[in-house]
Amino acid sequence: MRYYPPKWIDKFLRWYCNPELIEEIQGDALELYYARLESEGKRIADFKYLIDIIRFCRWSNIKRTNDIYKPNPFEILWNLDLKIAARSIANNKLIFAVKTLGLSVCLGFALLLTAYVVSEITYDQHNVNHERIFRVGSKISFQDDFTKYAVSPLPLGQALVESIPEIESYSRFMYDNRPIYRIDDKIFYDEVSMLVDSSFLEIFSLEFIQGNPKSFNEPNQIILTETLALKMFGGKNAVGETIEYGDEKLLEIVAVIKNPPSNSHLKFQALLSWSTFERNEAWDNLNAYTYIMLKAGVNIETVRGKIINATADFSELIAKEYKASYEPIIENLSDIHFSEKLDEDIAEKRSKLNVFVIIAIALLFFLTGFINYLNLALAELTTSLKKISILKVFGGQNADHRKTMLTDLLLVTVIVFPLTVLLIVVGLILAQSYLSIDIERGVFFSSIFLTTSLSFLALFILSSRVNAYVLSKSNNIVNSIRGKLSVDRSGFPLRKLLVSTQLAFSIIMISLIMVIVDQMNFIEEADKGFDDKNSIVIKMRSANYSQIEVFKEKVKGIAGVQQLDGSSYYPGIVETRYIFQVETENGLKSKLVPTIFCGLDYLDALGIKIESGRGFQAGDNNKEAAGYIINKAAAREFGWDQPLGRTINGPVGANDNTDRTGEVIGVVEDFNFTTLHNKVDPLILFMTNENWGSQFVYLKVNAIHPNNLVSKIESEFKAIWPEFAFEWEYLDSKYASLYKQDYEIKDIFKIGLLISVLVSGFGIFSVSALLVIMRTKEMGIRKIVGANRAQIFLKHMESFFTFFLIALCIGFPIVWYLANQWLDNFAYRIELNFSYYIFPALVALLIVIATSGFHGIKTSLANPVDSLKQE
Amino acid sequence: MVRKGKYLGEFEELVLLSVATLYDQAYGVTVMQFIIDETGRSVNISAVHEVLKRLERKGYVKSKMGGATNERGGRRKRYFTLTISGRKVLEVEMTLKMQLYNRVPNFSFKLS
Repeated sequence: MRYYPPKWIDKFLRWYCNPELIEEIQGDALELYYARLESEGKRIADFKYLIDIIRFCRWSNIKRTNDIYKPNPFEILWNLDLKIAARSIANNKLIFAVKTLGLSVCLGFALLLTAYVVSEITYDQHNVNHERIFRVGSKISFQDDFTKYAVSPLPLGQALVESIPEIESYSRFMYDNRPIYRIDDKIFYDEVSMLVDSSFLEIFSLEFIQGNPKSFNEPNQIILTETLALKMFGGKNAVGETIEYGDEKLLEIVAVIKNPPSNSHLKFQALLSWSTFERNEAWDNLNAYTYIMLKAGVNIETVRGKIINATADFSELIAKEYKASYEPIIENLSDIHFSEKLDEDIAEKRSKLNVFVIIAIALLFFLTGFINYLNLALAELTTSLKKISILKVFGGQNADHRKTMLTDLLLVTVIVFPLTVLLIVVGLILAQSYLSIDIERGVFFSSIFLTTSLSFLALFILSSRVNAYVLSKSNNIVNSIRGKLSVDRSGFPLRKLLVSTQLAFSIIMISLIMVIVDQMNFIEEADKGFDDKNSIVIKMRSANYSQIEVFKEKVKGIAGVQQLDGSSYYPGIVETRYIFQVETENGLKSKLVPTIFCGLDYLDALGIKIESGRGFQAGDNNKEAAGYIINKAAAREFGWDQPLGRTINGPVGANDNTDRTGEVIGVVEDFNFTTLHNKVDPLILFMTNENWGSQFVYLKVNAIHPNNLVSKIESEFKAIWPEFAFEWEYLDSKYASLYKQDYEIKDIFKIGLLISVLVSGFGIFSVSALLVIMRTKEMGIRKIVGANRAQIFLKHMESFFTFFLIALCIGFPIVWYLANQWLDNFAYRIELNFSYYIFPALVALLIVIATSGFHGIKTSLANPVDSLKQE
Repeated sequence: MVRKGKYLGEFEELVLLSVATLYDQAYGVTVMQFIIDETGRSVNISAVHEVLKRLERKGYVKSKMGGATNERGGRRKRYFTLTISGRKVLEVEMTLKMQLYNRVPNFSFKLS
């Protein structure tokens, strides 16, 4: 019987082996097989046959030669000129590095900006019904002045739903002021909590993790967000547990929801049910954030008039009592983020203009990255132009440029893609920690973002065709074989313009950052009119006047405390305004004025200067003969040349206990109780009494004070209020934190500066590379005719000076415009002078010289024989 | 001619010598058998094939197909023969080795 080795081994052989070689390989293997069959038996012979076949499986036997056209799925892989690609990389290591790095940086940054823009544009749109949800605010006009509030009267929502059929439902909520939660012995302070009614769950889209309540109507119910639940209960089920609230209440947890996304204007850690607290549900309680949801298909315009009608009664009430007029402000949920900031507005606002600017910047970076890449790729290709042209002339499969293009594309993608992703991740982390800008992970998977990235990719692939096209022009082929190495200059001006734009961008960045740094320094050193150094602020949680007085006495005695007193002021909160009646030529007029009420020694504690009259004395808080202090801005506002002795009544309308009448006893210099963004508003100060307690106590401490000063104060605090948290901070750091957004901008610009300098460097490098190749012959001839190295170097640099000049022309006007725009934010600002233009220009010049100089030096050192011997 | 930088490896030289000796009988199996018989080394058929291919690329041998037999299921063999440059490289290598060997002092040919 004729034995044969197992068929499957042969199948394996036929699969991998180059068909031309199968015959001899199999032949030899079989011959050995039959020899072994004799001497060692079938099993061993089979085994050794298998070993042989396996050992034949090597690349030189697998590789197919190019003449055989085999349409199988691995064709592309076999035909990839990996070797050629690797060779070209090794030859031009620097260009490759700059190419891929530049592209990754640009792409990464552009995509990051895109993600940010997407996250901003889709703000609040995670709410499924966002098109039908509207927030109702209030505009209160008072004589010649008006204030827009984000809140509405408490009964408004219900009234609207009852009278307007097109409104399907409403929801309202209020913020809970500094809640304290307790579980066993763990205390949680300052978790942002909202008191919401039941329809909140229906109108806004919340994702429930634990529990699924149908309604939220019962008192003493609470819903936690994921992070809070984790903090309080670790991983276990929180539903059904109870938490202590403050002193009195026990709240039951009915559900746990996912944290609201970072692009939501509602930020909270806990939701309490509305009915947990009693409150004044009258129309003059203007404190609820009210949202209405329209029925599907209803247009807000049809409803607007009806809303105004429905609130007519309320309007009349206001007009009669306060001599003011009321108008509702209606805005769509997704518009809130970009609309103007209202009083008591909880939403973080951004201007749409900023968003457009960021889109423009992202596009610029994206384009830049590509143009650089293309420039460099073109430069690379030109070095091997001769070889490519010869291949083309020969025709056949080798002439097909596509293989090289494909390999190149593949390699670049393989390197650029992970690098870009890495940069984006790093960018996200940095943004979160330094700029506290949170971009939801979900944004990266949203359709807008994906479409943008894919179009970037498509553009990339298309744009590499540009190079292919440029090269395939028959002029180039013939010229290069002839020996003329230069490439057609088509498309070059566009690239030049883009490089100039990048350079302009760097100039703008440098200049703006100088402006920002200077302005921030100015702010830090500017005289605010009060002394915030060595001042400590302590938050009072109790409104008990006598307790606070006791506390103040005790603390006064602590060594190191110079002066202290309480007040209602806290940097950063929207200043409270009250209505006062002030004396004018036409009798008493009502005015809405920012107010601070404070203790006797408060002005002293803060170092506020009294310009005329006197400070507060005992008795100034009398109802009948109260003493008021105003600032100079107020004196101007009321038209008083002689403010002392003028009559003021107020605050009006709060309630009888708190009304006072009196006269002005002192005038203080204007001090910046808000940030330097705003001019100083008029201000009335009056003294605290039992009806007006202090919310904060300010201490002036000696510069050198004992270490345990704060802990001593804390023990005094705890002695009186053991159940409250002792919260304190330094006034200067609190004040500085008001500029948080501005510091953030500074940081953003710092990073932007780095990136734009990097990118301009890349840009110029790439253009320089191209230029050098184009002008090799020219340089060679110049050298031979007698130019020395320095002259060659300068000649190369000349062309870049045009870039530089164009960049200046583009950059300076933009710097002037943008800087002034930002500085206009501030009522107190620095002025622009020459240094903000000259210094960045010098830096840009440096960049130009450094990057193009590299090629310039290479050219000047090159042997002219090498460039000319092509002819 | 020995190409600059591309010297004959040890195993390559062995295979080349086998091909030279076997004259017109040299193909995969016979070369392998020859090496096993003469040197006692165990070599695998695939290694021999590879070296033969390499030698052909270098131009030291040339090959042609021929000689189908029953044992091979009717498959032909690839025969290898020495070329002139192959022969030359063998000679040069040998002479070089002898020269170097003779320069080693106090060596006798026989190890006792």
